[in-house]
Amino acid sequence: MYDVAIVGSGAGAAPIAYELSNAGYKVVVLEKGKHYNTEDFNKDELSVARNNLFTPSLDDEYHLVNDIDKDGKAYKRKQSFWNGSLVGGSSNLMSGYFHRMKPNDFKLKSVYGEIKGANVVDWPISYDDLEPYYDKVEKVVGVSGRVVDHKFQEKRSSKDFPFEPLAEQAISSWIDDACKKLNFTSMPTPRAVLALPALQRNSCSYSNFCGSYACATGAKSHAKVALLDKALKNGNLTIISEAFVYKIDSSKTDVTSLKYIKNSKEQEIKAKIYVVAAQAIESSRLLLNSKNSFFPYGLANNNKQVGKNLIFSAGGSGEGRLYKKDLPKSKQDELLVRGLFVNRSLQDWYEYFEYGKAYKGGTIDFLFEHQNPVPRALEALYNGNDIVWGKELSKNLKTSFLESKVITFEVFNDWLPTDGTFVNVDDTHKDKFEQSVALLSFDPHKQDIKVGKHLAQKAEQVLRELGCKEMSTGISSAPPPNLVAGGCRFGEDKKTSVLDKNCKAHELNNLYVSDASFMPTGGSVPYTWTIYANSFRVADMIKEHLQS
Amino acid sequence: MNRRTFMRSAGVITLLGTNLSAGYIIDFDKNDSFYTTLELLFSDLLAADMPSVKQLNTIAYIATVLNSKKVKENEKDFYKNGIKWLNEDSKELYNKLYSNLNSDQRQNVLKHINTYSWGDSFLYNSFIYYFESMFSDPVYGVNIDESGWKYLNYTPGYPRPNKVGENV
Repeated sequence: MYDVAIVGSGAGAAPIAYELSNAGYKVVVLEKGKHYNTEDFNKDELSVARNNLFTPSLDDEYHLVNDIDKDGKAYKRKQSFWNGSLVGGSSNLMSGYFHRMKPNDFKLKSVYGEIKGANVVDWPISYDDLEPYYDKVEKVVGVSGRVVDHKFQEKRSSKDFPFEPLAEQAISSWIDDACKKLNFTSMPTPRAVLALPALQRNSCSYSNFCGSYACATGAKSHAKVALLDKALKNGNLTIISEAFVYKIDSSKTDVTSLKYIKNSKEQEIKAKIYVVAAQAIESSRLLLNSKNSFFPYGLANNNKQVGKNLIFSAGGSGEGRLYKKDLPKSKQDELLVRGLFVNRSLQDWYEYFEYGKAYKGGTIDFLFEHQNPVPRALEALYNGNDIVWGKELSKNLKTSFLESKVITFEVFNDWLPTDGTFVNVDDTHKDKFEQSVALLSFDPHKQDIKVGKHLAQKAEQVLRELGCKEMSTGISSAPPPNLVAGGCRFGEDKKTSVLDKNCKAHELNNLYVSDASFMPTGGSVPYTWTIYANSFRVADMIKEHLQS
Repeated sequence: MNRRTFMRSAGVITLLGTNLSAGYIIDFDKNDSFYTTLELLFSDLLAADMPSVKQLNTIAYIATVLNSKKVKENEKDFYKNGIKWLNEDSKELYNKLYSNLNSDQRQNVLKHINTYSWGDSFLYNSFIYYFESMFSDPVYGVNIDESGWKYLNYTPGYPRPNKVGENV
């Protein structure tokens, strides 16, 4: 019997595997995807991006979304919310834009008050409780950057980041200049990528393909290279890959085993403590699919809270094209230098006032458009809504690839939790493992769009100041599949939460959930740093649990 | 399915333009009228300075995709029907197959099909194949001598693949 069995191997799982195995406990990690090593990774667009190497086929495994057709009739459509099925999870494929949540993010209800139609609550822990773990992630997992003082800079126990920032493209200083003119405070975006060799890992190779691709040097601080590979050396960690956990068995008070399928065979694992970290939607799905006589609505779900209050990162993105010909001669060649990072963010409106009312705002990140060439070429195919060919197409391609660059911004603001946004399972639709698939429902709050637009207008000002043309912005309520949290929120009241403040299920003595599922609100930043930090915190709680 | 039923089935359109690439190069019948028409079509779509389908091995790439078990049958059928419908349109306008038209007539046919949703999707998918054969690594048997990359002074990401992807 293992001490700890963990479902999943990403940012919510790996810190627990790392900490507990280093402490001498026997840990097993079950990961649905394959176990690749750094030398297996490359920048093959056809395999990785065009044919989705790291996500399952939608024919085999899919998610369903409740939707309404144009005639007002309800129907369920298939959609993929997969982010990365491989050891290390989707952290392999992240861009690694790392921002901490701010102190007010932990007490949204107390600070900004009730919002009609939204289930906003305070977290049962404070920023101060999580700060040491954010700090630990910087040092152990690896975050590079430079602290710039600004009005929403959160309190830090270390003065600056332990790893120096990545090399920057010339556009970064142009953004700084534009922001200065606008009286905005630009800051280097902290990145979970190492600029120089450290932590027994290689540095970034500036290959121009980071987000959506697995790192071929080990510089990106994904869960496998930063934590699991090191933990494997202590002899206490076992990783079972290509193992799909389909059911958690339990008594009335304790989880008793995990059932999984590997090589088409059903198998079982037992441990003292069980941790679920399969990413928010799949973690809720696993609990809901683990019904038994003690938990007829799904494991840890006698209060019918599992799957509720699913959240995403609200906001969206925008872009503008910067032409060489519009720049002074001295800057023209700099624009097209490839591989270096943009790494600029704005948090000036993390909180803002409108008509005397305080609003929780968010974060803006600037970057170049993704460098995958096929989508860029396909964009050049159109003049307005019409496909062009021949000389016109050739001209468009040359303009796109040789004469200009698209500057993009991303807006991150709170997706307010609502009654209408949740995950359930659909017993009439089974995946290739004969398990009920996740059925998602979305009812975004109208304030999400309002705040997103407010932030986007600020980002557009920066693009205009830079001299961008052909600007467009898309702030929408569409849920981004790679920025999902909630579903098993933590809290003091078992009637309104699934987990206690240590992320242990209220209703079971030995079940923890440690991915983003625990988050009752998401802050206005990408989630990964918070997931890592909380998983280190939960690891400490599990150590105490095992010692007691 | 004919092109009119295609136009009515709006849902099909959403399937197109995604997940259409696959495979490494297979042998195929280069004299098959489907492929000879396709080659002519691309010669009409590409500017003189763009890499030809011969330089990129685009036709062989398309043949490989259309024979791949990993590509959905309805996607393959749609693309095959595209050439059928292109000929139907050519006959409607000029009473001849596409391959028997002169260059100006073929351009008119292309402009005509581009006004239909099936035509727009067919041309879009043709360019997906073309761009995939232009930008993919030569390890796939396309982009011969890196001619696609050279055309746009494109530098690929490193490390490059040293074999065909396990999922392609």
